[in-house]
Amino acid sequence: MIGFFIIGLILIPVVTLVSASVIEARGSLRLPGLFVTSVIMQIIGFVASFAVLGLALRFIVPQ
Amino acid sequence: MAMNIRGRGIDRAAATDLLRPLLHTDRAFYVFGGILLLLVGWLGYAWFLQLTQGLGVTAMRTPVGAGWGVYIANFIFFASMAHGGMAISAAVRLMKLNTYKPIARMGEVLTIVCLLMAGLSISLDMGRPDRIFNVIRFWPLRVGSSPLSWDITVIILYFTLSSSFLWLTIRKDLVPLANRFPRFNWLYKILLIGYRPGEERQIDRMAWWLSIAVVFLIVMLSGGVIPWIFGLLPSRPGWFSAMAGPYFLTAAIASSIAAVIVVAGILRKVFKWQEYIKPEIFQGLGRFLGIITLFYLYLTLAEQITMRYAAPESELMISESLLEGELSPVYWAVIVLGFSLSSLLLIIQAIRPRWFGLNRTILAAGAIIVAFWFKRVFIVVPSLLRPLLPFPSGTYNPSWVEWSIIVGIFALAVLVYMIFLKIFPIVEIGEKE
Repeated sequence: MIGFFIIGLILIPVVTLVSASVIEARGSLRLPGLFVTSVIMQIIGFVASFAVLGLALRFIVPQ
Repeated sequence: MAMNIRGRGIDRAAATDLLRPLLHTDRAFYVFGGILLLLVGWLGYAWFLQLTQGLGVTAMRTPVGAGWGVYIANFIFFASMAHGGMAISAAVRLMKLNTYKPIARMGEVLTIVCLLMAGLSISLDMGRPDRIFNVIRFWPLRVGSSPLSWDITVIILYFTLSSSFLWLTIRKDLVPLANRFPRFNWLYKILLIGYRPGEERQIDRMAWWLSIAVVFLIVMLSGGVIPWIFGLLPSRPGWFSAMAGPYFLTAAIASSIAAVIVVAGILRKVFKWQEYIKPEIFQGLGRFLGIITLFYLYLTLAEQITMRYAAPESELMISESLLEGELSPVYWAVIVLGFSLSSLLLIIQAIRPRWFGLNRTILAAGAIIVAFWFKRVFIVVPSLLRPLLPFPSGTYNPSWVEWSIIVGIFALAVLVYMIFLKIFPIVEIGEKE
């Protein structure tokens, strides 16, 4: 299960640094909110596009 | 000089200069764009054949032969090239390297385009791409043990952070464009959602922290999860190595800096930006590229010495195929013309600045990029042709379908970059016109 260690090793510092950028914007959560929303929406977009692409390709790839 | 684009203010004439790609579209653009579109269409046709007839239309074979080929090499190439642009942009913010500010956004866009092409390359390598959602579906089961799952996770994270970073930093330049280019007004309005004048200072502070996150991700991606696809596998000779991380990271830094030099050089010439993109930018990047390429040559030497001194026979066979076998003509061209002569030229220019030549620097950077593409093929293919299991050695010559797809991916990369140029300012304009 070394993968969980590696993913943690990467994600924890990244999440910490992104949080630091959010905290840096003291007093206004508008820009940090926009940034985090953009990241989350893009990740959802990736997952959705994988699903759509997979479904669409079923009509082309012989089953 | 009429303006200082490193400063806060900017006059209208300078802004017009920097918006030249949006303001003027000549015939050459349509001709070149048309050729690229044709190549992308050809990619679509080749992929359709591959989808309907299977990977048999490629030259990839298993168990005798290479199960991975130019697609995977192309994936490593584009994933690696994605780092220089963001690295330069991060360095500009973290170390106040304002000299390089005019090329920071060029690099950021290069990162986005290269990551898209890396993702496309690996998707095209899939035998059953209709099952692509399984990557997400079984992610919780796979992430504990599969380097490919780590790769997908980190690449998606890097892409989303980079594109959101680009979006934040480009917002201030979209304000004057909204009225000036009504055709794209709807798009600018969407991207300017929640905009308030004076938000730039807050964005600068946020970008400082995000730059550290981006640099960390670059190291973990190009020096971590991508090389670990190969470096953790003892089942293939030539791959199993603790040196894989530093080796790949050095290659990524060199090839991506070379790509930024070439892109900046082309845009400078095409849009007559000599006043804004100074030769000192190319001098600085060229100097760094020369040193890092030389270091890569040292790593290559260390790898070959290890493979030849007292290594297992399978490792020696790979080294022989590269140095004196069927791959040697291209391998030596890569080492001598691509890496040695180019880095020598760049280092001589660094030692004797009066011998600096802009075109020579761009040419050397171009040669390094081409060399790195072939070097990626040499990482992937020879190890697969000579397995440890008792199968005979195979051969691999990419089919026309594979070449069509590779050329199409490069054409698509250039096309996407050109489209960005026509819609957004590629050089930071400043806070006010």
